[in-house]
Amino acid sequence: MPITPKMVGARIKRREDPRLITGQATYTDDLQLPGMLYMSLFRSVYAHAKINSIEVSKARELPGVVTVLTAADVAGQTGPVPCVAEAPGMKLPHHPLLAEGKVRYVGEPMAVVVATSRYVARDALDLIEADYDPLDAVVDPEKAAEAGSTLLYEEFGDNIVFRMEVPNPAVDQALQEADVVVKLRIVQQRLVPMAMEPRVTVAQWDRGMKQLTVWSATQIPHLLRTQIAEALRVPENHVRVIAPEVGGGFGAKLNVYREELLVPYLAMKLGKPIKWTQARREDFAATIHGRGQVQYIEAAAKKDGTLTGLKAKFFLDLGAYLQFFTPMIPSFTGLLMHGAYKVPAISFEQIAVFTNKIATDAYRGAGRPEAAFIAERVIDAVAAELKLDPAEVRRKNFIAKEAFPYPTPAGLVYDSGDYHAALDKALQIVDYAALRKEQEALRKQGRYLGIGLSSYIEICGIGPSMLLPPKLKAGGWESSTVRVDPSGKVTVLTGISPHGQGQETSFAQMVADDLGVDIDDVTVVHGDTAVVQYGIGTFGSRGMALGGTALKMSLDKVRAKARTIASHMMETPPESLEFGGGQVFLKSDPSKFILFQQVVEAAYGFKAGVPNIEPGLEATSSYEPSNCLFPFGTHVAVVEVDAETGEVKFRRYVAVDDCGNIINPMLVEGQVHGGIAQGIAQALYEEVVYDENGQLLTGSLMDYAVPKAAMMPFMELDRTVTPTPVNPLGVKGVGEAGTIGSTPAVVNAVLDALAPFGVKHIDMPLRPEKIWRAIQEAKGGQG
Amino acid sequence: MIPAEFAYYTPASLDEALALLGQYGDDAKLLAGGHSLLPALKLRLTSIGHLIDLGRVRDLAYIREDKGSLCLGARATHYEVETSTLLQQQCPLLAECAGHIGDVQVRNRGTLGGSLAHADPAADYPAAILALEAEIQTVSAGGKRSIKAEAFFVDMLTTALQPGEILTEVRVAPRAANTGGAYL
Repeated sequence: MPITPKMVGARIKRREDPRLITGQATYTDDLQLPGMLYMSLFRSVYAHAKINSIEVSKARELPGVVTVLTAADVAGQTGPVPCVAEAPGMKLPHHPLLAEGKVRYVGEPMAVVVATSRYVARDALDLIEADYDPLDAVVDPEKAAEAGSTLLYEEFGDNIVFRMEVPNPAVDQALQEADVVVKLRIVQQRLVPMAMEPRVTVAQWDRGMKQLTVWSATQIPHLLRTQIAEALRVPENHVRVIAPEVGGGFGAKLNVYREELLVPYLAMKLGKPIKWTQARREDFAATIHGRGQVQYIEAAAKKDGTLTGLKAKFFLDLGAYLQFFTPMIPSFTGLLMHGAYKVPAISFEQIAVFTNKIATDAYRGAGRPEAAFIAERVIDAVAAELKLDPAEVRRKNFIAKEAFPYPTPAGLVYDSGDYHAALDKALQIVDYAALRKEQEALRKQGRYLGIGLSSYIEICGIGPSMLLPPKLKAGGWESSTVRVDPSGKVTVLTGISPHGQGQETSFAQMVADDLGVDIDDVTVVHGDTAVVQYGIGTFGSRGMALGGTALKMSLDKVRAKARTIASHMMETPPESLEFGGGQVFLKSDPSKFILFQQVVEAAYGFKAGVPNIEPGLEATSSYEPSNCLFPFGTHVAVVEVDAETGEVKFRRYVAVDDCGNIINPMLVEGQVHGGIAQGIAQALYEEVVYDENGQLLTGSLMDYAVPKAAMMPFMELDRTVTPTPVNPLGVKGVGEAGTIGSTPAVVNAVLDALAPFGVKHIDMPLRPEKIWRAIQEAKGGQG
Repeated sequence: MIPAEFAYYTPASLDEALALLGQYGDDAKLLAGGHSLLPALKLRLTSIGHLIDLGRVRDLAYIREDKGSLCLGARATHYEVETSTLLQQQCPLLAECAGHIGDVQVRNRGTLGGSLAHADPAADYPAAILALEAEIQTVSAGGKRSIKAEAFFVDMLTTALQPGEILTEVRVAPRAANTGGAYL
């Protein structure tokens, strides 16, 4: 009997890593093409200004400069930068490739330079002179919504992108009848997604073939191809987009940027390959930011802690122009703001505004961290108000595991969950009762231990195609091809576009198990539209849930065909056969087998006379999910706050996550580690700061506090496993869970530590200075 | 992150470096570890015509005892200062201070002399150098001189170094009996 260790579920090291950590991976910036030219962008230093003129003649004269163009040269020659998302009554401003008439954020491109080297391209920028008159800047999203505010777009009459209300009289009634009403004002600060690799795009136009090839650091090569074809008016089948190695995206590369249209536009215009590599400072100013919400929350509860209603008003800071999914991201916040809790009535209002900043859009969690934060802060605030244990208030309000599939008041259907189990496990790991006792004892010594819980849920595996906007021109499904080559090696072509998630490993594990081949005989190919069938991409923790399920479907087809062939050859019914150890064998008597390679040869050689089959051994599938997926878990942060300095020190960090079945625990843990780091960063360290003139004060890594490894706690990870019924793998998703779960756990922990002072709220990030001031103010001091 | 054009020199001796400094004057700048100057150049916060790299001037990278003083060559890296047994035993404050600078990669490249000459008020060394009452040795076409730490730091990013002068060595006294220090 062939004995092969099962690959699915095993801790297989990432097959991607050797090339990545030895510098042998090819990123977009590594590409060098003959005759290549280099692009640079002259960007606005003002947040809001009227452009009088842009003087480019000196730059044009610099030796090595090929061309310098402004809006006057390119306007009308391409379509605008696309925003595919829509909201009722939404104002969609024209989003040009180069600023027309006005600039509306610091970093907005005003002129483009193409030169023979990147040095000359950069030097030329210093020779461009813009004559522009600064206007008042709109920075604060609440003020932006006020009548009489300075307008970004005079033609719109106000700065409101859209206003959407989901009213519910039952909520107002619940608030009136409540034993206790908790009110919170939460600022979800803007964050920089901060992929290690900034954005990079290369394009080449083959005049003879009329073929445009674009290499771009993107999460969505196929969607980008569709958009480039439309904007540049090139037939889509003459456009090839390649996402080579991509050094992280975190949602920021789930987009179509000005530069991704400008580079191919110029490559076509000049007939030369062109490269643009973003500088880190450009990434701060001109790659989308995440978050950017001001939330007003009212929660109604009974004396025993039972939640009876939840009401929210959101001011959404969308920025100056709408990027790919900008208006859609915050919609997840209202829908999920009751989290894992059974709240009978919810209502919310969104006021989305233009501000003089780069657009916000998807950043790891994308609308869900903002939701989980509401639910988890509300629970803790209710517990604090009623002097109840926050763990007990969570238990009291959890949706019971018998209630799934659970239709939510917002109209979603939670697939599966066991919220008690995750909470119980996390509390057991930290020994919650003992911690509370220790906290009590330490407080008597003037030491401030805080225990913060977060029993988050999230929505991922996006998703049914109905959820995605028509202008995307593609749905929420995913595709795969499994191709067994004549030599028996297996190639997987996947429509997702991994950029760090590790599906080259996890998908190969699935193939190895299902076809009984060696994992080293499997290659996973992605990110090239000329090679891979149309697919949607990697975002919203959809890689395994959708890409993996699509793969499973193709594997099933290949197995079925291989079984048919083997059945014919072995003269035994197909259902009696199984795959393993490079063999197709009889389940009842594994000593009777043929080699998988013999089956492959029969499929390609086609001499075995198997009736009713086509030659070859290959299958393609597309998977449309019936629902989204709702991972969950409980995170516990244990911190000690130094009341003298306001510093926060981690004692423990425990995360019990449930993402359903797991293909590779090591990959799951890696995702959770990174997610927690980014979530802690929001809680304690990171914040995009614009001053009142719209100047970006956090425009470099010297000013913006991305945490270092030493600033992270040791993360103790565990899990519960509640498979989803939505897909045959029973997998949910785990790319964003850590980010979503961790932020409220940390903030709750700090506020729990500060409870003896009566501190109830501090805006994120909880820097030592803010904590110290809050303590001083609570003490009645002057701070 | 692309600097403006500059000419680059790699003198093999202090004399050569001094000659280049004399030749290009204000339009020249010395490069040691490069951890302040290179970012400033790349961000175009500054630009210079002539960059004189001291990387090949070998007689500047040492840490030794000489006539009762601890002598640190200007090109001693933060890592060398941090891990020097001599300093750990006889001037632990300075070793401790160096260990606080940046991360290992930065400490491997950044130099004591470069940091002092740059005089960034956010840097770690100045406080320690002042507390230790160090003496800073320099050389110029006019000869050598010694500057007391308290006279060396003039203002933010400004030192007593004159144009054409190169910081060559830092001297501190070994720890006296029954004394101690800590870098916070």
